[in-house]
Amino acid sequence: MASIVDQRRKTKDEGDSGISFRLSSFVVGLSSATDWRTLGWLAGFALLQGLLLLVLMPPWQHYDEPTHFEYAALIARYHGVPGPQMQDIELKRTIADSAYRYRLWGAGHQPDLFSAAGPFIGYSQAVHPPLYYALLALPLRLVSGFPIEWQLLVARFCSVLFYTLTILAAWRFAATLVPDEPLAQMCIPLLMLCVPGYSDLMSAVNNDVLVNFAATSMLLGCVLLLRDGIRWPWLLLASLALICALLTKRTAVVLVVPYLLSIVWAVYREQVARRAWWAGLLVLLVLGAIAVRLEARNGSFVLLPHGWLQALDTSYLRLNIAAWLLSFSDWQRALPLYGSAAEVLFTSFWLRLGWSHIQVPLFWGWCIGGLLVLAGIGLLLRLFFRPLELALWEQRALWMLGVALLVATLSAMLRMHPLPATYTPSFLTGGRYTFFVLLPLLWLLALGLQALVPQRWQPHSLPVLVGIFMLFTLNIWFWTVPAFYYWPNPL
Amino acid sequence: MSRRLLLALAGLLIVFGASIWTYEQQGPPLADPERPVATLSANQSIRQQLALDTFYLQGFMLAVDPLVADSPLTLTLRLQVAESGLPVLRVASQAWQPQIGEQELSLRFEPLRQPLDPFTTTGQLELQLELAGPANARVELLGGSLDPARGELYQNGETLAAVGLALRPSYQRRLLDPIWPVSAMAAGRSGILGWPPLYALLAYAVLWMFCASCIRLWRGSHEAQS
Repeated sequence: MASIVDQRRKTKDEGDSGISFRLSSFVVGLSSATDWRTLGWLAGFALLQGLLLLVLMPPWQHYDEPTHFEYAALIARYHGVPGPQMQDIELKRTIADSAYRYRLWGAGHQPDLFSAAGPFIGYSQAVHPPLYYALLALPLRLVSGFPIEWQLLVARFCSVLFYTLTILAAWRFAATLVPDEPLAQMCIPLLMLCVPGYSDLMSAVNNDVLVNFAATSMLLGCVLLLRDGIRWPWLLLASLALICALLTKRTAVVLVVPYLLSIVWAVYREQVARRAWWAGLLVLLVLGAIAVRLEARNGSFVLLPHGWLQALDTSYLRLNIAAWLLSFSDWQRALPLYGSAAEVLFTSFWLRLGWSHIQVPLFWGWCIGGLLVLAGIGLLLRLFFRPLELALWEQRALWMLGVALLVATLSAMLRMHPLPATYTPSFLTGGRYTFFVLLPLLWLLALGLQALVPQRWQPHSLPVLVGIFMLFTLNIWFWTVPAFYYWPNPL
Repeated sequence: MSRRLLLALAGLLIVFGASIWTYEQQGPPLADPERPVATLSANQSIRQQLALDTFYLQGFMLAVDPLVADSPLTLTLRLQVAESGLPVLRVASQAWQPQIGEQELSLRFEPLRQPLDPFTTTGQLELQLELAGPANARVELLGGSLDPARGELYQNGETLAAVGLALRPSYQRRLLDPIWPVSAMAAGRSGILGWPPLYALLAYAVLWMFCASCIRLWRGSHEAQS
């Protein structure tokens, strides 16, 4: 990272960057024994931490885990993608019985195992695209005769494998962006390993796991495109990762923005003239006009979708765009809720685990919040007073990260729309909807904080940040979670 | 072998040892052994209801005073939840040669690893004691005053008012439990997940990775500065 500040690296020619398209370098881009050692180290770390969380959290204790697992188990049992209405009452009973034994529900709640419709274990997840669940179904077929808790563990283990791959992708991202900085290359994936909520989710049965992996891989592909221009292996990587994310969860649709940005910048590798930016803005406005129209209603203007967008929404997006735009246009109602949405987003991102029922000590909320504010100030300083001397592709990579973070955060915040007509919504989007931009967030956090540190201490700033996050994580794994579930007595 | 590896192995052994080494921890007695509160004859039984922590409960100490000391006696304990119709949790027997005067008996059973189900039970336990021996065998059970809210003593279907037996519960604990509750983590789980050292070893490995990463970063940052 110090090189971002100190060492000016111009765009390298192909020979310098050591790019070759041999299969081995395409797969991992590893060039030295040190790289392999780092890979082994990070993979081991992620795997061990994932395994610890896998057994530490009692079964069914993550967001909608019973129904996420049910979806995968249905695919494994019936060798096909089930519709939202498909039921396997025996499976529901087995899951409900296990969830009951592991105290998923509060005292006094006992599932009705013998009801004709089967016990209620949550809302069906079969509304999601099936990719993640189909992947989970492969090993689940092999262990279908095992107790349900063991099947859940196998499914969780698949998530842990994706977690490990995500950490490795984050490391390759860092190695691409700062090739001369082995310290920064280690710090970024370590920071990622030390976000407890993220690690917790990544060891759960949840389709967000695959979205997070796909998003990190896509960002890796994008940064390689920015560095080298349009090359088919990087294009393939970014495109396949994006498709994977889209086939996993529709909220991943916002990843299209950084992807397209990277493609455009990979094609136009020269400094873009100011008038081109204006032209781009004009194109965006035209696209907006093609998608949305303005209509006067009851003395005020409201936004409504054009027909094609409405059709796309009905068939795939299911965002209820028309109602969404109407609600969005109602500024007077929406404005006060944005503060609450931001608070929920921050809290559930950093300070909650499980079904958001495990609370991290508030001290860490102040600590992380303070770091984020400082990083924001640092980024503003970088932007207006202390610009970095970077190669064009490096600048663009950072902008791409910023854009990814911005659109993901806005998308999560704006999911509160459409607002219910008569009451204030009780559900505001949780932090897990933005975990797929954790990598950009950590980069910008590190970059912003570094801007506030005197030059002499800058080599230590990232390790100190990692140290703070390590204390944070250790506190959660070795105190908060055991205290919640196991002290003084189990559950 | 490098010093670091030796250190890692030593730590591993300590953690493993602390996770398998068990010791006995005695809980507070239900009532003090102040006086005889009931007499138990051969082939009779007495029931004590009580509320206590059952996690890794492995037995009870009981103060008795045999009134006849000519042949061996056997005391059998049955532990179950107070709600009727639920199966007996544990059974323990102790045969001993009675001597005139106060004696302390230890009734041990396999530790209770599965927590009681709070949804189907009130948490109240029932302990039944039976004496086996010659027809003239009799022992006095020592005890003291007891708040009925904490438990009640029954004999021949009638409550013995406001007294309780001097029962002292005994628990199995692991050395590591006060630091990292591995027994609780393994409680009620099957297969390798029911083996407490698994949690200890995984936690140790993760902790080791954290520490080793810190050392790597520390060295890296100093190299970068120099």
